[in-house]
Formats: sequence, structure tokens, C-alpha cells
Amino acid sequence: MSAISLNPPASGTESRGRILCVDDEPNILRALSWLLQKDFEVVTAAGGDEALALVRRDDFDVVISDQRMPGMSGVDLLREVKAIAPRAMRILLTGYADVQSVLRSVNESEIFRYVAKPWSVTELPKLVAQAAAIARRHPAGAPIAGDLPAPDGKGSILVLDGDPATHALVEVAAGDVAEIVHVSNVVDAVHCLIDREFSVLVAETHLGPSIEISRFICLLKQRHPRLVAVVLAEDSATDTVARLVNQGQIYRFIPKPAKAGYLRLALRSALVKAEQLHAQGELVKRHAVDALDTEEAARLEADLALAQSLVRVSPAPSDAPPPGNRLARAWRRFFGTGRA
Amino acid sequence: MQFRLVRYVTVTSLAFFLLAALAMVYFYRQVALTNMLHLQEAANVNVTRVFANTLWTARFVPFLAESDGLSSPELKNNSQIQEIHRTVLDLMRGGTTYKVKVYDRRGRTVYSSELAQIGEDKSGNSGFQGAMAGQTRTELVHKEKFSAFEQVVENRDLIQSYIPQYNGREIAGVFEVYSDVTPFLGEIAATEKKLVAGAAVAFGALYLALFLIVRRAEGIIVGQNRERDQAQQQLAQSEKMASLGQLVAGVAHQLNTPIAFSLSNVALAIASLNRMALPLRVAAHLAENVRRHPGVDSVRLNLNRSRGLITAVDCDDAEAALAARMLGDVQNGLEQMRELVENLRDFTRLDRAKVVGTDLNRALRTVIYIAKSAIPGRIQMVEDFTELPLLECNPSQLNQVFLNLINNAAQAIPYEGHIRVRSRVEGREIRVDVIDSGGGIPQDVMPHIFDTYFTTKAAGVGTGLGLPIARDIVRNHGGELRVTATSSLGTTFTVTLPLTSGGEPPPASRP
Ligand SMILES: Nc1ncnc2c1ncn2[C@@H]1O[C@H](COP(=O)(O)OP(=O)(O)OP(=O)(O)O)[C@@H](O)[C@H]1O
Ligand SMILES: [Mg+2]
Repeated sequence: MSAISLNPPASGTESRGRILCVDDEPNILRALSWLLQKDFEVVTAAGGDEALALVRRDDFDVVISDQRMPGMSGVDLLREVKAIAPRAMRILLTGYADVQSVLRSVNESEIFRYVAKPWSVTELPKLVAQAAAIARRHPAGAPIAGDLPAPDGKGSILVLDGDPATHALVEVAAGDVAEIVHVSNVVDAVHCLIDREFSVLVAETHLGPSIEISRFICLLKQRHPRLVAVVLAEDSATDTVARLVNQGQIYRFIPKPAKAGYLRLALRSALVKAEQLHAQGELVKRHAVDALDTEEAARLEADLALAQSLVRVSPAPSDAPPPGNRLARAWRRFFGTGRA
Repeated sequence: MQFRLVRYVTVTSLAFFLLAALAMVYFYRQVALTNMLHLQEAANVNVTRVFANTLWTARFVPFLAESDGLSSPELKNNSQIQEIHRTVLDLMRGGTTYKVKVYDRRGRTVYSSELAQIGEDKSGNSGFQGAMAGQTRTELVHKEKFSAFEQVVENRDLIQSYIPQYNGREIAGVFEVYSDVTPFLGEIAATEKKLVAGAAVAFGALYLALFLIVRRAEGIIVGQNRERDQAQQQLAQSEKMASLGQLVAGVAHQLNTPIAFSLSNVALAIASLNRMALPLRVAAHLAENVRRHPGVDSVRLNLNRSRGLITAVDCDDAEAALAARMLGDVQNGLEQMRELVENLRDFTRLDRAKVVGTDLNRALRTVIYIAKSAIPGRIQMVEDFTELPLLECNPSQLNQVFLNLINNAAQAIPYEGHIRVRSRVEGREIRVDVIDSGGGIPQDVMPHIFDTYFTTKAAGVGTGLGLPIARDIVRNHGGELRVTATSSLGTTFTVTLPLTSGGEPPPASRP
């Protein structure tokens, strides 16, 4: 356990941050404070209401909350914290979360990290230290909520999706407030991002049955930190979303099928967020991401090359039916097949 | 019992085909006979005309006038008869006419080609009367024995016509002509046979087509039924898996908490112990030093050698106490895990097949413990038990019943609320109530809640199997499951189980 002794004991005069831990399990709270008390000033709360009272009274750098608690859930608590104390970095620490609460943790609570229980005794203090440092050095910008200031129209959106319906939907939702560029494969997306800067990226996590690109979105986000990522995807598995949060700091995750009105709100808010990031450059630091490990990054590059060759050769699908089947198909259409 | 479509179609269609064939033959025969009668009548009229032309004015008119005054025997022996008879025979030879008779206006036979009949009175005969009224009467008759003009013939079908004969404007007499239609009838019968054969072939073909169509349709229907059954089975299976998954997720969460803090604490405690190694070494060194000099008040420390070590000691006695507390929490966590595993074991009871004397309160406690891990924390579970005698039952099945009821109760509570589980002995029964503070069951839903696959919940949340399965299990135990109260303030489901093992023992296991 040399890693722990790497953390030098706090010098006593000044801790590296004030941390609020919230969980309904006293055992968990004790374990967290034992783990963190050497380096940080740790305050604990046994529930959402107690935590909110503390946040109102005191100033915290980081709030770590469990998701499942009687009374207020972690997601709800962190959303409130975001409004009351926007400077505090929010971390959701949970053993199990249903899809719905994971989505809300992204879209409503805008959490910094999603940490699974059991946590790593080496990683968690590092993460908290990072979060605390960010909170101290880079206070948050004005919260984006309620009546959105209309985006100034200089924004631009890059849409990466294989499904034409999504492109149409984005066009409907934000065609009037931003310039929209449509691409349907990773290669084009990379080229577009090299050529110019975009404010917002709208992307699907799957570009076909076998092309999963959530890691790629994370990679893009690391290369272009100022890009505000909105994921509009069919697959909203908990761990995919968690990865997109931790390694991609995505701004919104919208499960398909998305309603145009909701998408419109999300895109507007994303455009405003992009303007904010543009105006206050160091705000970007609040959205620092976990690096992909090198092996993964290398594999990604290889995939990219593969994708390139795939895209070039894909021919237009022919839709003329084989003539011999025509009669059989007409027969089936007239009588049905008797199979549901 | 499945409906046998092919059999049904075969029997009914064959019956109808038979009916149709019979009707066809019947109508054919009617039409053919009518046609034949008309034809033969016309033929007989012609025959009569021939007789009339050759005989009437020349012979019969004077003969009739003369016979008026004669008695029947006199008539028979009248000299003119022989002459008339010869002429008649001449005319009849070679034709199908078997017999000719002539009546006078009073109905007396003045002539018959069968001479013995001359003089007979036929005034009561309806054919004669009809002819006297001016109509030509024709009918088909069958004669077993018939004396035709030259011989006696047997078993013939004959057409008998009464034809009025006029003298100026008034009827002077009546001809009766018999002609043989046996060959005609033979032809009709032969045609009938052909018709029957034709109908058999046509209807056979029709039936074959029908059979093929229906058999294919039945194949499709059977296939669809099988698919539907499979889909329902799959649904049931996936429902089982879903509730199992929910349970497992809840249990995993429950296990995860002690695992998380124990892992963290153990790591910290180990680090802490590692830090204590040096102070312990220093302390041991000091102790050794002291032990080596018994009975002295002070010992010398050679700081040259140990200064580095001793100054490196950086921990207070609180550290050991802290490590002990951390490990105390770990012990606590392990205790929690042990409890969970014990409850899980009680809940599933690997001795599934057995019927055993069970303390239902203990079973209920287990179910509540398990359910708690799966239902949201905002819902409070209340145990309201009284001492119960042991019940002969299959505990794992009853666990399933109570888990279903508690799950339903939890799903009926949208926000904060409580679920009370109450156990009582009432007479010779154990009564368990599951009382929730949920939204109640609407009146229009109430009649259906025990129906298989009836659910008001979203797909994936409920499949509508919970209550029907629960009721099945309770009934197999000789008991009953019902709703004893429901309003907007909540619902009470009541399970009653008889204590007397009078009924047959509950079955070993459910499919
Ligand atoms: N405690 C309750 N309060 C209100 N409604 C209830 C309650 N219990 C059952 N119901 C109603 O009865 C219906 C049938 O219940 P049942 O347990 O058979 O199926 P389900 O709960 O919908 O699905 P499943 O149990 O298979 O997951 C439910 O959909 C619900 O509408
Ligand atoms: Mg149910």
C-alpha cells in the first residue's frame, strides 16, 4: 500500500480542499472520511437535506454523493448543489444506478465524475485532489438555466450520425440558431474538426451495428477540449454513459428517439455553453477528462484507418428486387404469411 | 381439446355434397319424367289421330250410335267388333302402343284391343271424367302384368292417356291409349347413374381443393398458436428473469456497500500497520534494552546507531486506535454480508421440493429483508407479527407469494409510504395481510387483477403473472388470496392458510 503513504500528511495549517461526503450508510461515510481526512477537510452528511443545509451555510470544493438514499436521491442533491454552489465539483459515487438516474446525472446535475463503488483507495484521493484544485483555480461561469439567452448565431454544430433522420432532426431543432455540418462517418468528422473549429458536436455512439464510437467521442473531446459534446444515442447503457462522462465530459446525453423540442433546448444550452467556454478560456479546465489509456488510443487509431477504408468502398445499396421473387412476394402480400 | 378443422370441414362438406347430389338427381328425374310424359302424350294424341282418321268417322261414329241401345254381352258379340279389331291391330303393329280402348259418353267400354274388356263400365274413372271435361289426361303407371294386344307382358312402365274425341263441337267418346315407355325410363335411369358419377367426380375435386386449402389454413393456424404459446412462455420466462434480475441487482447493491467500505478500510488499516512497523521496531529495541538491564534506574541509548530510526517515528497512539476502529467497521461489514447470505439461503431454500413445518414469521422476515434491498428506500417496511404455530407448507413457494405481494405494494407507492406485513392466527387459519399505502386498485381494474398477463404496468416492469401465480400457490396450499380492502389510501392483500393438514398436501414444486 505504498500509494497511500505517497500522500503526505496534511501540513495542518491548510488542507487541499473542503470535501462534503453524502451517504445514508454511516459505515461508508466513516470509510470516506478516513480515506480523505489526511489531505482534505472532510464533512459528512447522512442525507440530501442535511447536505443541502451544509452547502448553503459553508463553501465546499467537492461534493461526493451516493445515488440511492432514502428521501432525496444523489442526482437530485447534486442538481441542487449545482444551483446553490456552482463552484463545487460534483462527483456521483454509486454501486448501482438505473439508466434514468445516470442520464439525469449527466443532463441535470452535470457531474464531473461518475465513480463506482467499491472505489479505488489510490484513485479516489487523486480524483478528489484534482477536482478540488480545479474548483479552487477555476470558479464556474454563470449557470445556464431557465430562459436561455439566445445563442448569437455564430455557433456551429457538427452532426456525426449514420441515420439521416437524426440529421433532419438536428436541422429542425437548431437550423435557425447555428450553422450545421453533417457527416456520417468518423473520417469526415476528423477532417472537419481539423479544418475548422466547431462549437458543438452532436454524435451517436454507434455508426452501424458493429461500429461503437463512444471511445472515439472521448478522444475527440480530449483533442478539442472546447468542443461541447451532445450524445444523441440509441444505446444508453449505464457504463457507456459513465465512460462518456469520465473520459469525454459530455454535456448532454439524449436517448433516442429524441423529441425535437427537448433537443432544441439541449442544443441551445450547448451553444450557450460553447460561447461561455470561448469567452472564458479557463472554464475548460473544469471539464478536464480522464485520459484514455495508451493501448486503447492506439487501437482507436487502427480502427480509424479501418473505418477509412470501409467508408471509401461502401457502394450504394441496390433496391431492385430479384425478379423471380416478385410473384412470391405479391402472393405473400395478398394473402399474408400467417407468421406474426 | 383443440378444434379439428379438417375433420369438421370434411364431415360437413361431404354431407352437403351428398345433399346437393341427391337434389340434382331428383330434379333431373322430375324434369326428365315431365318431358317424357309430354312427349308421350303428344305421341298418344298422334296415335289417336291416326285411329281417328282411319276408324272414327268410318267405324266408331256409326258403331257408337248403334251400341247405344245394346247391352254389354250383345256389344261383345257385335259383328262389327271383329272388323274394327283387325284394323286396330294392323295400325298398332310395330309401334309402342300396347292397347287402345274406346268409351262412349256414359263411360262404357265399347271397344278394347283386349276384347274381354268390352262392355266394362269405366264411368267412375278420373281419367275418363277428365277427358269428358275436355282435357287430355296422361299418367305414368307401372304394371306388373299387362295383357297387350298380342301377348301378356310383365313389369312394364306405361303411359296411359285419355283423349276426348269430338263429333263436331261435342264430345262423342273417349280414346284410351297405352304406350310402353320402359326403354325410356331405362335411359333416364342410365343418365341418372352418369349424373351421379359426374357429381361424385365434380364434388370430389371440389372437396379435394377444399381439403387442401383447409389443411394449409389449419397448418398456419396451428403454427400461429404454437408461436403465440411460445411467445407467452418466453414472456413468462423473461418475467421470471426480470424479477430475478431485480432481486439480484438489489442483493448486489446490498453486498456492494459493505464490500466498498471494507475494502477501503482494510487498505487504510494495512497502510497504517505498515507505518507502525518502524515505531514497533524502535519500541521493541527499547524494551529489549530495558529487559537486558534489570534493576537499574536508567539505561544508555546509543543514539549514534538509532537516532535515524527513532526520529523517523512519526505516529501517535491514536493511529492504532483508528486502525482498530477501521477494522471494527470491516468486521461489521462482514457481519452484514453474513446476514445477507443467510437470508438469501433461507429465501431460496435449496430443499425446494420439500414440505416442511415452517415458522411463517421467519419466512416473512426473510422476504422483507430481501425485498428491502430491491425496493426504494423511501418506502418503509413495517413488521407486525404475532406468534404463529408451525405451518406445513412449501416455504420457497410461499416466499414467492409474499415477495410478489410486497413488490406489487411497492410499485403502487409513487412517493413516500409504508408497507405493513401483519400475521395473525384466526381460528384454524393463519392470516397474513400485506397492507400498502399506495394508490389503490381502480374499480375497472379490480375484476382483472388475477387474470394471467393482465397488467397496468409498462412493458418491462410488469407482465401480469405475479398475482395469478401467487393465487395458484396459495390455493395449492388449500388457502386463499384476496383483496380485502382497497381505496385511494391503499390496498390490503390477504393470504389465509389452513393450519389443519386436512386437505391434500401442497404439491412438491411448480413448473
Ligand atoms: N398493491 C396494489 N395496489 C394497486 N394495484 C395493484 C396492487 N397489486 C396489484 N395491482 C394491480 O394488479 C395488476 C396485476 O398485478 P400482477 O402482480 O398480477 O402483475 P404486475 O405486477 O403488473 O406484473 P408482474 O407481477 O408480473 O411483474 C397490476 O398491474 C396492478 O394494476
Ligand atoms: Mg406484480
